[in-house]
Amino acid sequence: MTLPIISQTISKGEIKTTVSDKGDTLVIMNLEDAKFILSDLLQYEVTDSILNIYVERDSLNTEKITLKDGIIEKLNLQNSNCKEMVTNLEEIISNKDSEIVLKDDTIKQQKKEIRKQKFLKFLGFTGSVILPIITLLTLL
Amino acid sequence: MQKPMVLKMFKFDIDIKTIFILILGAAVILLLLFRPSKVINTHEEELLKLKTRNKLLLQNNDSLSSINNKLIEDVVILEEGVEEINIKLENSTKEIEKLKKKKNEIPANVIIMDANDVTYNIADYLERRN
Repeated sequence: MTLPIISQTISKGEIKTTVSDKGDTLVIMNLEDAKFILSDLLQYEVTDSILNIYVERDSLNTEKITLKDGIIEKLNLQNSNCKEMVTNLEEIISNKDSEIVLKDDTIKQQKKEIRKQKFLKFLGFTGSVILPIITLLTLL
Repeated sequence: MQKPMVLKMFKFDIDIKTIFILILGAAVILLLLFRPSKVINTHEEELLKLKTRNKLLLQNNDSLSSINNKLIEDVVILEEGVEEINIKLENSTKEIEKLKKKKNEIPANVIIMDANDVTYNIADYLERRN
């Protein structure tokens, strides 16, 4: 038997059809052309597989973007809450300052009153000592 | 008028006017000693209002803090999801590289095939396609 590569008489780029004795339609072409077709077919098949992976990647990327959007939304909400907390804390500080001012005022008043009471006490005790002495001196 | 015994003893010359002055003096001293103190404004009402407001603000902060904790948990879960997707994307990148390499090798592999291999591969392709 002769090798197929040697037995070919059809030239490249030429395709013929013939019907065999059994009635089959035979497409005849050069082996090199058949190799080209096979090579292209296999490459297209692989390209299809690559395309499917790209479609899958696209879907994954869309899902990733959705998740990232969710993260951003939650972080924004968290940020907004933190800002509100800061505002609240600032108001608390302001209120505490007001409390301090009021308490300072109370302390000031109390200090003034204590000073006054001390003076009156001193005056009272002094009077209680001096007055009898003066009376005694006057009477003697 | 007969003088009391004590006065007689100290030979004091005391009359009703002096006694009256003494009583008044004592009253002044007692008044100074036991005088009621001035009412000090302790701002109780304002302080109570401020304390109540602060308590409310702290409660608000607590609830915001617990909301934030829940948000952090959610973010961690979402980040885990992103990480899983990144791993899948990395794997798919490797697969694409593998397929591209395979695609580039096809012409070289086909060129060395004989007629039987070509026929077999075309038949195999048709079978896969169907």
